[in-house]
Amino acid sequence: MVRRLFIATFVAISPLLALSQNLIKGHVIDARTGEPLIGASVAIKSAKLQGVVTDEDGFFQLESNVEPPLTLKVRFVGFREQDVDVYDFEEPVEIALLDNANKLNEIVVVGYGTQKRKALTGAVTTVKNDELLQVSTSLDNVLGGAVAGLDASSSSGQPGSSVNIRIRGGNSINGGNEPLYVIDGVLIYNSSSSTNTGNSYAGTNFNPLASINPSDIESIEVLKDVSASAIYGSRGANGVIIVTTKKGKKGKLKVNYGYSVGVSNVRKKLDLLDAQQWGDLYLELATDAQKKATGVTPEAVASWGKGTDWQDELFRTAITQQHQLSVSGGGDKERFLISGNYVNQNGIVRGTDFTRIGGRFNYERDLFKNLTVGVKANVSKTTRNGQQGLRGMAGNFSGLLDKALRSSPAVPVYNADGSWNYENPFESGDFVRNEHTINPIADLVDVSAETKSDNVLVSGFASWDIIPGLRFRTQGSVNIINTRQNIFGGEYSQIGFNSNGYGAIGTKRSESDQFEATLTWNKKFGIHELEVLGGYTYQQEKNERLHGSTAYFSNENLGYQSLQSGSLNLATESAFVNSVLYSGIGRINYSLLDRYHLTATLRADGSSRFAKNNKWGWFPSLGASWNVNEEKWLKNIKWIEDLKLRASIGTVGNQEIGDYRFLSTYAATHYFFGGTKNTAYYRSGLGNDNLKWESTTSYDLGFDFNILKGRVGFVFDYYKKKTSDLLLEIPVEQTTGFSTQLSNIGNVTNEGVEFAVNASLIQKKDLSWNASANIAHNTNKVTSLGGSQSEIISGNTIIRVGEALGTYYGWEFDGVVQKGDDLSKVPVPSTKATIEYGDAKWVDQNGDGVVDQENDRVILGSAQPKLTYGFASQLRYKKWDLSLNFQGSYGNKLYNHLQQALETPNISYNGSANLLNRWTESNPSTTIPRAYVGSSTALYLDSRYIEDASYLRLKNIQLGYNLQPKLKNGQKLGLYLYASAQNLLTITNYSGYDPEYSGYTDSGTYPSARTFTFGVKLSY
Amino acid sequence: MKRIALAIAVLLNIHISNTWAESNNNEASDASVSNVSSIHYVKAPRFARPLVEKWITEYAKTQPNVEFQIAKTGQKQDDIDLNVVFDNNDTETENHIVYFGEFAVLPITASGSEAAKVLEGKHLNSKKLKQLYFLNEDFDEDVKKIKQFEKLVIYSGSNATSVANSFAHNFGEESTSFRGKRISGDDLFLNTALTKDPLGVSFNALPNIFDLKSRHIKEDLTIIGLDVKKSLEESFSDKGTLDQIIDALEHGKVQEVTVQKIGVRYKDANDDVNRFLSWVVTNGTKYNHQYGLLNLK
Repeated sequence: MVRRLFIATFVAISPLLALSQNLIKGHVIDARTGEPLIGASVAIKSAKLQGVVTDEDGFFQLESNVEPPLTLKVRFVGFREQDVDVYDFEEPVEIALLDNANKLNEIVVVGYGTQKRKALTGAVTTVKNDELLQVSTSLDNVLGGAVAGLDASSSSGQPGSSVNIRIRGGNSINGGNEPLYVIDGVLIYNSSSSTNTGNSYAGTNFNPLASINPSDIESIEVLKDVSASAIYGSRGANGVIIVTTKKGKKGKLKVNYGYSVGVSNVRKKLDLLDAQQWGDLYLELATDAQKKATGVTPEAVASWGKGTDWQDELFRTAITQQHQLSVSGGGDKERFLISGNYVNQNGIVRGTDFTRIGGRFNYERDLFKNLTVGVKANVSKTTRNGQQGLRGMAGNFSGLLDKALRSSPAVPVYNADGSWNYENPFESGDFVRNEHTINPIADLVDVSAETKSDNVLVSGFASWDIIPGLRFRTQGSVNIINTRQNIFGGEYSQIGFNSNGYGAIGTKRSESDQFEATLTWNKKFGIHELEVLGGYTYQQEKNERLHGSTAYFSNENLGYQSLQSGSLNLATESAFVNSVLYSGIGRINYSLLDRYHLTATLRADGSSRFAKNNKWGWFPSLGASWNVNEEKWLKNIKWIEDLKLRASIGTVGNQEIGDYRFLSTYAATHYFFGGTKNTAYYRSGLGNDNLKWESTTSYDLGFDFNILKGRVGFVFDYYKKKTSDLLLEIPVEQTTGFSTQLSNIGNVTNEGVEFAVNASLIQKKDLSWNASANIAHNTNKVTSLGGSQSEIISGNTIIRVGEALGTYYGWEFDGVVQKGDDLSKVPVPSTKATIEYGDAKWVDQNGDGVVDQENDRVILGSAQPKLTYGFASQLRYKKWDLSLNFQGSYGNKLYNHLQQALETPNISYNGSANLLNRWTESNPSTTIPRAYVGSSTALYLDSRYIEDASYLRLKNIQLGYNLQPKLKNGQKLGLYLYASAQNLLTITNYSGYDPEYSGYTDSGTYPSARTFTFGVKLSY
Repeated sequence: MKRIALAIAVLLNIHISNTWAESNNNEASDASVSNVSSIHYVKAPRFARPLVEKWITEYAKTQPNVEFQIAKTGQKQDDIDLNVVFDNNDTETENHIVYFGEFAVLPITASGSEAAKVLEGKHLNSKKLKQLYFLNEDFDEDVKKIKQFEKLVIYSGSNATSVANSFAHNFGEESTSFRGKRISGDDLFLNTALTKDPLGVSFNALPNIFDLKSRHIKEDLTIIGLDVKKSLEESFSDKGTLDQIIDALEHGKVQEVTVQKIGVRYKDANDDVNRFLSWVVTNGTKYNHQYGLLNLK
């Protein structure tokens, strides 16, 4: 009976139940950007189980039988949760969530995992994609000025060249100083040697990282201290840069396309003599015989006028074009991203360019609820054109650029018929053959010099959550770089003029295979939280190289494509290098009360590069951090959002010491016996059974401090690093047959402070302004070179205990000998027999009356900057935005060898306009000595040319306009137009082309360009 | 017994089903009627609806063949001919707006509430109002005063038709910067929220604060004291009438009071709509004061 009544009542009220379902519609957006939030959770507070997530456009629909008013709780990761009281369902509920500006809650990628920034004990700086300099074509070029303590400088302005990065100063003298790159878990030591085939005339500094498209990068983490980098053990000493590429996200298909076109020009021109000015100098310097031979008379010089401006001939307006296309998306179980890019960058020096065609495929699939697999593949083809090195007789020139700059302005580039001019009556002997000379511009344009590199980086992973809190992850990867360098120059070219043409082909295949497996266990016990990581990794690197060259070409038409057309076979050489690294890794993260954090790391590396007595290296570190703001006595201070103190100590290594260096090695050589060429071997290296890694022990003290609800944040670090067991050649007994042996001896320290501030100055719907700045000071010092030596002189630099690496060592300029000076008291330089009025004076340091290289050189400064800094600003007003990125350094010196050469008067080559102010009896200059022939002082470093290379550079300025036109289907199309300028402004006292140079000697380095870029980005 | 139970069930079921079907049919027939007899729908926030209803009534007297109606709940936007919007919440550039008046927003709380006691006797200037209503991220000498406000809970509307945006912009802020709680639904429910929370503080448009018949403030609300000229103090208190406030605001700017233009947005207007809008501008604005709105300056 009761049952029947129940059924009857149910039947009766069922329509009522249907009627009482309320439909709540709404939309969740990011309050700052207005972008929809996909996957935000919306639940009715009073009905615990009733909830939905927003769809791919941020909309939600929630059916409920709860009558209004009700409260919706809206949550989304990284945003402040919000309660909304709903009183009627008439209008859709509009919910705008504010992002959680609290940086300490963000997730940071660290070695072999991730960590909440709040719990980090190490010094880690994150650079997000939108903070990167987007117009750059290479990923290592985007970090300059963005990270405190990271100094990035180019090896050359030529497109595709490598960038040198130093994190907290250089540690090593003979080993590598570049940081370790970890790209989606794949460890890559960025060395241009991996693309160097031995064909040096085509270049030695091609950047392997040029294969990675910066637009594919989601974020970059820079691990600076030992707590963060020790997990990379013998590869962590120079810091670690972790690059995470973009991946697809759940939601609708996203298509992004970008196109930009840039126009580049040389940033500055040097002030050189014109033809008439140089002719006057020639008349002053040349002997009558020389004048007769060249036919130069005062009348002829007067008719020369300006002559050839070789800088105008050398430099050009260059166009850069980039296309970027990416498609990404995902469903409940899989996510993907496919991207492609094309870059064609012409260099500002004629005949130089860089091209990249690349593609990326990132895919992830949840096979089961607890098992995810994925693959990441990056494939690219890069080509760089432009000759770099000179072959054979170089006449004290560093390259074609230098040669062109110093060519006589009285010599034309072209003949009257438009053909190249190969006749130069002023050319010195090195570049004259059969009455022909070389024409550097013709060489740049006509000589085929290309570096082609195909790069494949593929990794696959599986991640299995065995039980809640226990995860097994394994990853395997292969990175193959196939490089081919071709060069051919005809009989009039510099590389071929001494041998009737020269052609060479070099190939190199670099392969790096990596496997890793890690097990991570995470557990919370009340107020304790523990994460334990253990794992094993293996990496093998193989390099194979082949280089062949021929000369004396009977037919130049086929160039390097027919080396057999050359009748002389030059040396053909091949090489094979194999290295293996086995490692065990372990890390324990412990948190107490989510306030006190401890990280202990240990890595054991067994490397084939280490000698038998030191096959395994152990690299431990310990880090601690304390969220002080969560203490009761600080909790009530409202304006303090976060305050975290950090400390770390540990030891890491540098295994970039080269392969087989611990072994006694033999090299092949040839000799002729009885008219027959024979092969022999000789002992080329003295082995050392104790040779091992260079180790760096360091500690770091720092704090992260955020105030005003995270709108202003400060990061400070003090660190000290001591690198010991430096690889140095030390003198050994002559009975060994060698004068030196490579040993682990010597120490270098780096000590410094870093400070960074980020501020969100204005955050309104229509107006926002963010600014950030960072500054770092580092003191680099050599503290030991082993017991038997206190200094090592290497060319114009000296490594001396107590001084920094990169310290210049040369004569101290003391003015110009003036009329009236007592010539007998002026020290005579070793380069000259007698001193005359108008000659340069140098300080005779030992007072022996002669200025020579052995006794009178002094320290002239260091290439190490005292300060490196950067600051950036992003201003947005309605649909407009303006961003600025500055980068600078202070206190670093650079040897301007080009200027020295230009200020050395010469009857063959052009000089600086400063020579117009040269000493004469009527012009008693104190800076420019008199002109005379035969000066060889340009060979010696002189304090005049150690210049202050401090600079402040407006690296990028960009003005953009964000249009969002509606399409017919109601969807909005993202359309962003921008105009930007790179290197628009550089403030420096450096007189050369560019103060931002990674080397010690600027002998006419390819200058960086000033570029104006216009672009469009479309997103749908 | 069994039969009686079944009979009740069946009858009840049939009745409810019929009622439901009827209501659905009505909606369907409404839709079909709208297609044939060109009913024009007007959507408006609740505080402006009495005025719009008045227009419709009066306009029908002059044009009995053209029918305007207030839009129904859940009606599709495409079917709506006219939307009453504010000066700052319309971003659709292809639309046109005819402004007919202004609305004013005053800060309020529930009368007799704890919040009213905290704020009693206070004359808040713009700076203090900003400190009361918005997330305070500056610190200056007034920090101590904020502490008195800390326990108060701000209620603000989040719907597109809410005056929250206008109120925030008057103080150079965004609606995302409000402290306290958000409500979804018409701004009229802000009053309801205040009556439920003794610490609640909010703001509303004049027609939602005043009884349009008595012209006095609604019984359960109180106006938060503002830093106005002495001569205006009474007008901006619970003693003042709706007309006094309208008069004061039409004759001078009071910085602390949000005043914003209100208009009718239309898209591709036909002749009927054009004529109606023309009537609103020439004849409809005379009802502004009666329904709590200000005339355009």
